[in-house]
Amino acid sequence: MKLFEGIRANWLFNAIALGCLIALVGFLLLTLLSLGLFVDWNIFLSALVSQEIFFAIRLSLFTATLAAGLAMVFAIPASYALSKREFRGKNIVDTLLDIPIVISPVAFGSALLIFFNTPLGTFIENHFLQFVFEVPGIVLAQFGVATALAIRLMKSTFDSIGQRYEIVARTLGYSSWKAFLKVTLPIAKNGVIAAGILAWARAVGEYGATVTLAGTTQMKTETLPIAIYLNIASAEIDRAVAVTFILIGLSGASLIVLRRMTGKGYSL
Amino acid sequence: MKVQGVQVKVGEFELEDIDLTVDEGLYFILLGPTGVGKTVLLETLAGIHRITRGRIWLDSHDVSHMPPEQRGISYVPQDYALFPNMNVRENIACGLKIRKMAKSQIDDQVGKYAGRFGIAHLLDRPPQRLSGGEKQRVALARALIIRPRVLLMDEPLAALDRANRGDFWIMLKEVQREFGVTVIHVTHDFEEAFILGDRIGVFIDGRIVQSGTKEEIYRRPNSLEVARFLGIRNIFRGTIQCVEPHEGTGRVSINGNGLAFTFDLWDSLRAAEEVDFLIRPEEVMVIREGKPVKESLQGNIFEGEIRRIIEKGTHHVLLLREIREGVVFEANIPNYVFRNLELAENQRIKAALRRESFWIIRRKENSPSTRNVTGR
Repeated sequence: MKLFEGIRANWLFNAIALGCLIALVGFLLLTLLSLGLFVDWNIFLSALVSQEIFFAIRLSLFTATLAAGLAMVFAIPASYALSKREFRGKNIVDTLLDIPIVISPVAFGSALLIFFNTPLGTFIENHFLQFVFEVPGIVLAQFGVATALAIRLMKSTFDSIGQRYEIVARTLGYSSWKAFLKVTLPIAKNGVIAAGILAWARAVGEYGATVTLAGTTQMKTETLPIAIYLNIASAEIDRAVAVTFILIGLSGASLIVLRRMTGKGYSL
Repeated sequence: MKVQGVQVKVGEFELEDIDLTVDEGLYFILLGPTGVGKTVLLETLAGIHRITRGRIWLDSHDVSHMPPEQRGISYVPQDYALFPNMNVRENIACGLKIRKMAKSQIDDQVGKYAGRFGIAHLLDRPPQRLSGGEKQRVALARALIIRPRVLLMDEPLAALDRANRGDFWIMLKEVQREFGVTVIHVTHDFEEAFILGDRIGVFIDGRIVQSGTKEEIYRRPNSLEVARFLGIRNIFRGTIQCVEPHEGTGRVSINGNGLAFTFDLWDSLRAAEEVDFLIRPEEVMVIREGKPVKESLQGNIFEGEIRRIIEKGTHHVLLLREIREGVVFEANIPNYVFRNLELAENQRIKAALRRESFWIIRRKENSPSTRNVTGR
């Protein structure tokens, strides 16, 4: 078997394309390897069972799961509407929804922080739920970025499902609700699950917006990314590396699940 | 089903003043080029799009604003849209399930329909593993099992091999008779339209420009756009030279030259009127040397040179250039006649146009309502 296959091409063209690919993979592997060489495994294990890191893991899993769940509750109907319905200003809405992904998370977090200083924001803080420098703030920040990502992914899933299925379902006797729940949503299942996983992974890794809105209080708003920051800031490099490994593990696991869900799997 | 002055706008398609009457139990073909909004019209009849004007009646009930699930109209789209998350059995059963029919009854019905459409062995397969023809049968079973009053089909044979279409034509016609369902079938294929349709509506540019029996559409297109769409050759601009009402004939000349032909008169035509006229290629006769010429061909004989011969399998097409004026006629000659006459390119022959085969189309500026031109 040849090392590389595909249509016949100029050797220089192939060399440049594949060279860039190899360079990028090398870059990532080197980074991970240096982490692995740096870590002191005894400290790693003791960090894992330390109260602070354990708290960070629990908080991260709890907030990210809640944020991703809420994100899906809003993003499924919203992305469906964006994909299948025509309305005035649709392009503007579509662009607006991308803002949390494209602007810097810190900027998004600042905007949230400033919102809670407006009369409406203060009213919400005083009468309903406190967000600023509190756990709900983490969930809100994660929710903001995760929703934008989930909508983007699910809209392309719904776009790829023709309107015909729903039209036929309607003529067969399904109401618009039933046609969505029994036909479109099951067809979109893999895309929806993939969006959920990526939204969750994005929420677990969220740092910029969380820091700005919820702050970096140890053992209070300390999610895994914030734990890395706090440990590096206090020169606890080994602990920071340990937390980094945990985060890499979580993201890696979600990527594996994602590939399985989308039927790609792995082969060597 | 009756459609009156319906107007609908969906994306770039705007359908206006759609009038259509399809009698119960009839096979109606909506014939038109692709990309003119035929699918939008079908979806509108099914209730998918809101109409902005007009009325849709079904069995004397006004269904104009009724949601699709209450209309009793089934729809088979071009790609069949079998639900990929269900197997064949579930696809067929879903219309009954939503009606809360008992499971034993559903199984019974699905078995019956699967048997009728020859798909009983496919019931547990996912639709992704069916051939085009199998998908079509499943889609039909799914559409008919709910006993719709009207069945809408959008280019149902477009995805099939040409070789299989003949079988499906027969099946569609049988199914329609057996279930007694009113069918509205959209196609761009003339052959399909003429084989299947009890009546045909020609749909061009968002309007139904002519509706009638096959014979009417085929022989008497009411406008040049219909004639051109039907691919009719031998369309000429002409002037009525004279009319002889007591003899029942008229004479029409091809514009710009002295070539003129006698035709059976259509009574309201006037001398000097500008018209378009057409004669179908199969009505152009090659005259055998020395053979007596029929009365109806007298006055319509011309001499021509065969410029090209095209073999079409079922017949031969001659491109015949009239010698004096250079007008080119197309003639379809049955194979056996072609062989008997031993025709060849560059050969000079005599040909004639049958006077009862002329179809005169009045110009729009002469007759504002060409749609009323129905008889001769």
